Amino acid sequence: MSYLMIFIAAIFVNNIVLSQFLGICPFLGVSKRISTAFGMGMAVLFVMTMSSVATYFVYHKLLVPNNLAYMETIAFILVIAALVQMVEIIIKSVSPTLYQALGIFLPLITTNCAVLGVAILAINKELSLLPSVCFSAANALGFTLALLLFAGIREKISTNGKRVPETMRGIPIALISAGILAMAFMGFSGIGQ
Amino acid sequence: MKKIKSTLFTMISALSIVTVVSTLAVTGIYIKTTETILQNQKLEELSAIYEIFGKNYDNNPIEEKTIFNDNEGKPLVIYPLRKNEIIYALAINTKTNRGFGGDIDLMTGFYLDGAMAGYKVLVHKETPGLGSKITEVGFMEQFKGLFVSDNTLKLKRYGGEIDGITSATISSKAILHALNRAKNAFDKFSMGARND
Amino acid sequence: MTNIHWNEFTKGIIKENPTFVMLLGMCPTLGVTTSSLNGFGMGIATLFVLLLSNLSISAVKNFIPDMVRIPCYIVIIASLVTILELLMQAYFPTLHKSLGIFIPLIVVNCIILGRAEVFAAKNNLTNSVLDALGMGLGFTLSLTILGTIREALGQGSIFGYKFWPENLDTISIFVMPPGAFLALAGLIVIFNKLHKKEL
Repeated sequence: MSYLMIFIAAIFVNNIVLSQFLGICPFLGVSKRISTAFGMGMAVLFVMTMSSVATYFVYHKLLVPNNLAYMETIAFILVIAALVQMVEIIIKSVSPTLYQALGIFLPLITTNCAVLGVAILAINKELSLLPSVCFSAANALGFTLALLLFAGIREKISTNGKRVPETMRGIPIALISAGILAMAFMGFSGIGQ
Repeated sequence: MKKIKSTLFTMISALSIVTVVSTLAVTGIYIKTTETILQNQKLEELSAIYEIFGKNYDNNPIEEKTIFNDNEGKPLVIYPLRKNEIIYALAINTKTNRGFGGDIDLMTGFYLDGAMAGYKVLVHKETPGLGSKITEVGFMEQFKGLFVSDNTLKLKRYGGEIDGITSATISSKAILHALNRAKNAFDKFSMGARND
Repeated sequence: MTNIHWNEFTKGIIKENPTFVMLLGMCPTLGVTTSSLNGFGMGIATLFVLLLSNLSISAVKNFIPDMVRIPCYIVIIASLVTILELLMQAYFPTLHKSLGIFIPLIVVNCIILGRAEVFAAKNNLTNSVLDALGMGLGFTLSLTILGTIREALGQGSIFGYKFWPENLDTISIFVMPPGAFLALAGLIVIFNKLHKKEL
């Protein structure tokens, strides 16, 4: 499969958040401001790309040759947790301001279902190393895109706060906006076929 | 009872013990379930073949299955069906990732003379009421007994012989993709078989 | 004999319902509720892991040094999920296929790690079990309700039993991604309205 198609498919056609439902927790929680959304997206891009390499090798060179494929879930989540820990330490020493800005979101990347989910998906699709990395990076970009779009919408809604009926303020209106966004993305189906 | 202090020794021991005990538990369950899981898989394969061919063979297709790789996606699985030792048909498990909702997994079959035996969808995530019609007799019927040559397995509007599902072109084309992969695998395999 | 605080059980069902109040575990909530059976199955699967996780973590809480507690919890939870996955593959293969990738993703379901860290690590065995049962049942309830609504509106059936006449259209969007968001939004609005009336 051509690499361009992998990117387009992952970002638009099968967007990780809006059509596969992975990464919803940070999607609903983080995306109230465009700047935080962008920071989160970049952190996830970094972790997902590195984890795709690490999980590929762990699965194909460690687990499968030793008949331990059933330990996939455990091995992967430990790899991801370790990676996030490393990223945290690196960011803390390289850019303390960025570290402050990301705050609690950094350790939360470990429990981001998108990260573990994409790692497992890459294995299920039986991708080799380079397509795996592209697949993960593309999904991370799709995640960032969804987050940015959503943050933009929510910023707009919060400045026009009075127009939203009271029972629908906060989460319900956010979910409805997400639903409409998901509908828009459905329009991308069939691209590349 | 107060919590244990975090010294290097206690941290490493606790983590190690937890890991060892957990791994043992998981491995234990794995050993206990691995037989059943394999059985389930075999039963699934057998029942899919049964849906298409009935019990019209006297060998064990599962034991003779071979994997076929064509680089268009996940590998296909070919199950030779024999009557009196001679292969008279191939059941083929084929897949496509071009479904509207993602992967579609199906079992199809070809008789040695090139006629299709039909197909059965095993896994799909197509839209209910639209793409899901790939499982309905109305669409599936046209494949039973169809003699397949070069342009047969294409939609009519593209020069083929297949009527697509109204408003579900993507799902229809996905099925055709999977069936074409199977026909290709059948051709390559039967060429090899004829050389035996 | 320590006190049995029954409210530790009941709180998970309404007042601190993981889905409608605490908004935890959103990924499976939106991802698998295309039918009542899937929602129910996922709820029970999560309940299974939550129960054993709270149980084990509460049992060993005094033996795990503070600094390694998160890695230890992760190992325990991941192992329980793998055990669940194997058992489902062997004894409930159809449900295993329907739930797909969301089964291993139970590991990162914020409810499980959340209850472990916030409750099981600080409370006795009995209350931890009650907490797990309450949260698990609350979660199962919300997933089943959401799944039923989506299946009824989107496919005209409930738990597989078709009640809508074949020739009439159904609102298919509800079994597709956007519908999940919309249905959940609707349920939260209703839940909030009912909840506010009690206060």
